[in-house]
Amino acid sequence: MIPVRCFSCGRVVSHVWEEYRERIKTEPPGKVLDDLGIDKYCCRRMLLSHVELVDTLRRYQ
Amino acid sequence: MKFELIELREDRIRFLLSGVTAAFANGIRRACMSEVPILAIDQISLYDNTSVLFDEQIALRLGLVPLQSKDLDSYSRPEDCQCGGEGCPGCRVDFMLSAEGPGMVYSKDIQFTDPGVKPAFDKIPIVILGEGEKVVIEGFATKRVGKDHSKWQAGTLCGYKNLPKIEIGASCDGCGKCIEVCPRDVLALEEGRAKATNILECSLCKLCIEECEAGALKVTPVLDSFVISIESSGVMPVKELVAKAAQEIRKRAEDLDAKLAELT
Ligand code: SF4
Ligand code: SF4
Ligand SMILES: [Zn+2]
Ligand SMILES: [Zn+2]
Repeated sequence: MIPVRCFSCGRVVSHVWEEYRERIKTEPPGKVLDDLGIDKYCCRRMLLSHVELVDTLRRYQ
Repeated sequence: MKFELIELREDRIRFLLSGVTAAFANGIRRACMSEVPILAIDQISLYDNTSVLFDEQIALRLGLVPLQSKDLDSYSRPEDCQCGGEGCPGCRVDFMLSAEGPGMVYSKDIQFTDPGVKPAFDKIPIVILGEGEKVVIEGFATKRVGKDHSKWQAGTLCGYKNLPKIEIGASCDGCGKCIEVCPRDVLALEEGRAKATNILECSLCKLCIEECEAGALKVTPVLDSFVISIESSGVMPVKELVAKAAQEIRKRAEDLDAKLAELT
C-alpha cells in the first residue's frame, strides 16, 4: 500500500496514487506528477519509487 | 515589523517578514508545526481484520489521515477537558469503519459521529480488500498538538531563510558566468551587466561569487528579514493556520507576562 504521507515532509501523497498509476500507462511520470501538484522531490519519490505488493502478498494469506 | 505577502494558495503561503529577530521567525515556524491543536485519530479497536495489512499498519494509516472540522474550537484537548482526560464528547469524536471486499477502503468511508468532522482528502487508500476479506474498526479522534505526535501536526513543511541581498559592483564586465552557474535563475544580464532579477529564489549558495573572476559580486543575508514558507497538511486553510499559530504565541506570551507579574 502506498504510504499515506511523504516520509520526509509529511504532505499527503496517497490521495493521487490511483490516478497517478492509471495515467503513467500513457504519459511520462514527471508530467503527471506536475499535473497532480506533487512538486517537491521528497514527495515525488514516494510515488515514483513505490512498488505495490499487496496483491502478491494476498496469495500467501 | 513589516509583512509582505509573496504567494498564497489554499495549502501554501510564502511571506516576507522584516524587522524581526531570527528567534521570532522561528517561533512562528515552530508554532505552525507543533503548537496548533487539531483532530487526528488517536485510538482504534479492531473487531475484525482479515486483510493483508497488520492491525498496527491500519492504525498508522488511519492516524495519518488529516481531519477537517467545521467547529474545531468546540473540542478541547483531553488534559484541559472537564472530564479530566477520561474521554467524553467534549474531547473525542468517535468513528466507525466497516467494509467488506473486494474493493478499496478509502478515507471517505470513515464515518464520524460528528457530521462536521471529515477527512481532508476523500481518496486516501486505507486498505485494499480481496474477495471475502473484511475490516470492522471502531475508534476515536482527539485534539492535540504536533509536539505529541506528528499526526497532529497542522503545518507540514515550514521553513524560513534570510532575505538575500545581492550587490553587483562596478567591476562587472558582463561575462555572464554567474548567470550560467546560478542554479535558481536569480541573475540576468541587463545592459551589459549582471542584475538580480529574481532575488527571492536565491538560496545564498554563493556559487556565483566563486565563478566571478572580476570579484564584482557580493551576496549577503539581510539579518532581520525572513522569507517564511508554511504548508498546511490540509486540516485547515493555511491562512487560518498562521493566524492560529500567532494566537498560540500571544497566549504563551500573556501567560508568561501574568506569571512574571505575580513574582514582582
Ligand atoms: S547565491 Fe546561489 S542562488 Fe543566489 S544568485 Fe548566487 S548562485 Fe544564484
Ligand atoms: S560573473 Fe562577475 S563579471 Fe561576470 S557577469 Fe557575473 S558579476 Fe559580472
Ligand atoms: Zn515530501
Ligand atoms: Zn473530555
